[in-house]
Amino acid sequence: MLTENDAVSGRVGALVAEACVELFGAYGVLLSPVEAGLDEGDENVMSGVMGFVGTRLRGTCLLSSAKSTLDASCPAGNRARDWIGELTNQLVGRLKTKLIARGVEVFVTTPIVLTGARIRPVPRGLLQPTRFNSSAGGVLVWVEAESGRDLTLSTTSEMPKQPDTSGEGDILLF
Amino acid sequence: MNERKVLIVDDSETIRQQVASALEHAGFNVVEAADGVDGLECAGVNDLCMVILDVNMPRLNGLEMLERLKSDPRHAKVPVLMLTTEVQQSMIERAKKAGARGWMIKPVKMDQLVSTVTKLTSVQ
Repeated sequence: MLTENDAVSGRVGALVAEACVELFGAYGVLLSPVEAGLDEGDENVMSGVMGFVGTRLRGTCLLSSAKSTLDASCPAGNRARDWIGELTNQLVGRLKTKLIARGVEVFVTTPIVLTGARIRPVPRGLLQPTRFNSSAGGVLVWVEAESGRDLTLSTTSEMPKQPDTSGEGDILLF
Repeated sequence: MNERKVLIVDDSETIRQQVASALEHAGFNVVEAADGVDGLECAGVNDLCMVILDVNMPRLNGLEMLERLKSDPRHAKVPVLMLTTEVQQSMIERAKKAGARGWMIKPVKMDQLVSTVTKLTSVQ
């Protein structure tokens, strides 16, 4: 049985926030944490929502971004709807990698996308969204998770790096 | 003799365009598909020298498309490179067993992608 666990949710939230900084950094946008964010203003934002599920952990991740931040991070073209979906996919992919390194396996869904101004997360637990700013604009990331009673997530990777698992951008040839 | 035509299958139009632009600059012709179902249809009507395949896609995911593609004698020898955020060892093993030639983790490093496609298509 999976239930809300503030300690585990906090760790998953920290991993998602860390993954978010890495992800935008990989596309040339430097994020810094801030107290107030996108959900405080009238700016129209794009959001991606994506789930993950395993036997010991399941949850849902939200990534919201100002259109200006999306444009700054997009490697080709200018398609905010497509790009927020792909970024959400890559964000949850990074979370999945971090969870695997801590001995937790999850499978992911495909993302859905929504847009609007003043769309505010309403957390059911103690974990609040993490808000970032950059020279291009704001980003918000939020996750809610349920876990098995015995699950703990360490602050660092517990598993040796799999020799066959490449790092980002690397190609493993068979 | 095909015309160095590469199929990129990814549900992100941005990723497809980014990959297509890099490969076309390197002299390849590129056709695009948005999911595994469209990808199989595209493979059926094009003479391909290579397929680049995302994993998490709607309708038919990349691993299922790979297995169906490789079970068709017309495409059994076409090299397939998986391009994904996934690092799950069981998925990598499944792709390897199905006949994929490689596994690349997003974000894409275009120079590495182009050199790998060039290498895999030159040894067919």
